Amino acid sequence: MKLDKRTLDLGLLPVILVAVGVVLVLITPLVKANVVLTLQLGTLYVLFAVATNLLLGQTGLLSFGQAVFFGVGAYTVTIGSTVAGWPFWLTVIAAIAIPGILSALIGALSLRARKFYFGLITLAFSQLFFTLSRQFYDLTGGDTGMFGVDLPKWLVRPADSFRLTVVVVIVCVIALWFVTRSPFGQTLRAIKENRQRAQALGIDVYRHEWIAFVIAGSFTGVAGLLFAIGQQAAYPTLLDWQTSGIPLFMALIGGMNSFWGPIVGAVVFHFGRQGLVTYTSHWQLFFGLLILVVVLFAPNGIAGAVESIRRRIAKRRFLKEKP
Amino acid sequence: MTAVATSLFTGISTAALLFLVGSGMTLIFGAMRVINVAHGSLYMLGAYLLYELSSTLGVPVGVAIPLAVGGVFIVSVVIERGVMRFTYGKEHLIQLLATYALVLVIADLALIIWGTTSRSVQNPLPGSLDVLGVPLPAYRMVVIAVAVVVGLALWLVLTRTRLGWMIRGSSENPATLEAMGYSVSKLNMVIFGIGGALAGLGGAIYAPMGSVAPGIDNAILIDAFVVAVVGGLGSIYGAAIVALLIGVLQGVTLLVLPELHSSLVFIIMIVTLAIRPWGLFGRPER
Amino acid sequence: MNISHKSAAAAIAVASVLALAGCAEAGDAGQDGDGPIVIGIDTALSGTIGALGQQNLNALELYFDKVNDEGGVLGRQVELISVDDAADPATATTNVQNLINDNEVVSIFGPVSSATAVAESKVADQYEIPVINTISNDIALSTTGYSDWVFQFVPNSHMEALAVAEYVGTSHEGSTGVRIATIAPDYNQGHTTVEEFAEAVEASGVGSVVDEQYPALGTTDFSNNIAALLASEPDVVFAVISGNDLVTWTKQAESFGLFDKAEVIAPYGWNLLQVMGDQIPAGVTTYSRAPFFAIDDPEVAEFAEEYHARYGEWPTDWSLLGYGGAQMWVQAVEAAGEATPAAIQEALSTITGKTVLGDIQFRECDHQAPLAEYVGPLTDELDPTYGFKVFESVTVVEADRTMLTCEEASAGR
Repeated sequence: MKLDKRTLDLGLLPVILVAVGVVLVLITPLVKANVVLTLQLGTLYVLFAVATNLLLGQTGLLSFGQAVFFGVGAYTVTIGSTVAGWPFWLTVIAAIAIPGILSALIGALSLRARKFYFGLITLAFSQLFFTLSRQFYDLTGGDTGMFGVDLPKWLVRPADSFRLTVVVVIVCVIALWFVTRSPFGQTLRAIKENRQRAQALGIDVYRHEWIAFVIAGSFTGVAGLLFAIGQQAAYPTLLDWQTSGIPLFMALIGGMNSFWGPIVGAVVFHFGRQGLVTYTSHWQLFFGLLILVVVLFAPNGIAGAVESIRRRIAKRRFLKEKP
Repeated sequence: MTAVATSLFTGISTAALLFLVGSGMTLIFGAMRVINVAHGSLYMLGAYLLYELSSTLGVPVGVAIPLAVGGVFIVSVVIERGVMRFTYGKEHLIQLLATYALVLVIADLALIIWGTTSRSVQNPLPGSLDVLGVPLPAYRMVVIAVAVVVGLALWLVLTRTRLGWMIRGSSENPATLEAMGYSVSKLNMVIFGIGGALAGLGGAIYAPMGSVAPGIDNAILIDAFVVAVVGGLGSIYGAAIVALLIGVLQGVTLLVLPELHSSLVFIIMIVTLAIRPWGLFGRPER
Repeated sequence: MNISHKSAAAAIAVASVLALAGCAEAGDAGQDGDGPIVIGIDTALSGTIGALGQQNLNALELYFDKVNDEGGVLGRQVELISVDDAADPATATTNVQNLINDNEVVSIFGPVSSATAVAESKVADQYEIPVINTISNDIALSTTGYSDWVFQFVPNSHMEALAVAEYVGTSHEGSTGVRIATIAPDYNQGHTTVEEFAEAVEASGVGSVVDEQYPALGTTDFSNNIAALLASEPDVVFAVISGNDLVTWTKQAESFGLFDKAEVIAPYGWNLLQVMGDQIPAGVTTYSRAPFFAIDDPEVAEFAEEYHARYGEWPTDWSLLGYGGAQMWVQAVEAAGEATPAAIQEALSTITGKTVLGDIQFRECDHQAPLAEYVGPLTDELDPTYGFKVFESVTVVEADRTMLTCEEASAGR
């Protein structure tokens, strides 16, 4: 990874994303309602994956607890608008602030553990919140979950919530892109490359990791908020470790070592799984085998495969040009 | 008073089961630095194999359990050769996801073979002994005995035998071991096999006092994690102590603070890892 | 690095196109004309509760095959499309959306878990497609989450609690100090069932609830709870535990001698009776929503034989309920004269259907079918015909004694 070239190249990915976003917004009326809802889910998963990859691919932190912020974001909207009776704009602000604050607290505690144990603490938090959401069913609706968010009129139709989701996700992903391209992002990657050396160079590794965790947690909260808007529901399984694993799968399939990998990974994972579930009741088997194949033969995911093909083409071109 | 006494006894028998399940995971991580998320699946496999042997084939439970364990050992070895071998040295996430993929595959295969219906294995020792007014189920005493025997056996193997010495060497410095002429690759195969077999033993022993059904793989996984991790990955007596701690504490909280009961294990894990990230008896990552 | 961005663009574009293409699945012929009548079922077919969905689906397929062999409905064949939601509400929502939009189903049969059932009812309400639930019996479906388009062909959780309370009241008639203990999983349905049971049984005057245990959902070791139950010295233990957990709890409770000390009432459906055989201790009372072997009706017996011949096992409550629900649907379509969602919904709301569980009409205020609950002690020995324990005697608790009043059901809507 050449840091120098990346710093200069800020422009192209945001442009591509905005273009894709415009296309999606324009074609919405042409698409059937159920497809729109699936697209909406897939789009917010993109944000979930990219936010999580800020930790995984950019900083080298394997967090198995991102579902906490996702689920809390979703629950804040549902509880806020039904039980608490807040106006919609307040639930939105809360759905970003509360996961943000939680991530600050959880991050402060969890980052004291290194590497793999950090993953385990975050996993414990994920299961803890899952258990609590089922236990305090007066507040959260328990195992059945909470349904029926009071959406403002301009968001009620699936097409409207989809368009909002597209806009919000693209803005957030571009923001995350700028974070990764900034000096802060470069420092994160330095930490990922060699944590000890970064520390020796005088970088406050803990603080950088903590800030990254809060950023990731807040944006994941946004993804959860979009989920609640689209599905108009929140339920306990949004908080468990299996949901925490979803953005990790997406990052793996797409390629965690690049920024755009998780974007593609999210799309492939979501629509692939939906397709599998529709066509076979043995989706677990196929899905498991697929992950095995990717893990064993293409651990750098789609981005990695694309990158290695590109390199092979470049090498061949270079060899041809030699005098 | 009987409530407390029963609570203590059941806490110990729960601990016995937790120890069996957690010891395998801690062994594999301690020696190979690999996290086996498919641990619960091997546990489930042990239970299903016991069901097939005892209920379908009529083998008495006492004989069926070692056979089932042997079966899971073989499956674990196959998994190590076929999948795990290609993940060593790679990022933790890769290993984690590889074993998680196995969880899905094994779960679906179990569904295909045994279907969705739950199975029940006859408890060979259904009665209970009345000790000072407290009913102590006979089978649970056997479970405790087995756990103690296994724990001792593991300790003996790890400290007194050459295999144990190789295992400990492999976890500290595999390169040196290799240089000395030992096949680390073969060693990994054996270690993974034993760790998996321990999980299978947990499942086989559990089956007569529970139900064998889809979903028991996930149910036990978190418990296994907590015991192995909080005890200190790689430490067998750490696993034993934490298993005991959790078993007894769960009983106590039910009597004293029932609201805390469900969240107890996670709080223990969070608190321990925040203070001592490598577990109570583990060693800091090299 | 421009090349890398180009590959990014290409990949994202290709992925987007593939995604859209993958979503635009071909739909089957819809509701009118002479083509088949398409209906759908989204339910759990995998995971811990997959068995229930499968048993339910089996009965539906059996029934519709019969109907099709005899000429179909309104002269048209019935096509049943089934999808697995793995008990995940988001998947259930998407599946039902797809069934409605792509396959253009005119009716839907409901799922296993409450969360997915509530999610599906929202979608059905939005698209105005009738849903018949035959497994999920969460009280919310007919009260706070009620929709005109959703029909409950299964006794709800309130009815079950009251039926067991009624049984305890009548079987202990004349006594006053009966000690009752309960154990139910620690979630809203567990707590509500125990509350309603306690209220009803204490109102009957035969005794009171002396201890309530709430083990965490998914517990595999109930020893501590069982020890606590024993300590409260109950005469009756009401265990609101089902499925695999009940197998586990039974064996553990037996090893502690609980079954010798108290009368245990727990929902041992056919499935569990068969799985556990004589491992179920003597002196157990069970309650069930539709036990085929306890209903003295030639149609039920015939259905059971056909089911057994085709699937190699006997039908469970879920099979019987699914069958009955399907019968209601067919009769509704025939009464409506057309296979459109609105007409079917109208007909379902008004007809009295002849089903394998009696002549049933969905109650107008909450679309709840007044189905009975079956409670009674099990035989000590295995029944020679079936190879599992059956009811020694059955108390049929009719719905009029257990259903909520219409005011209670409408409150909170």
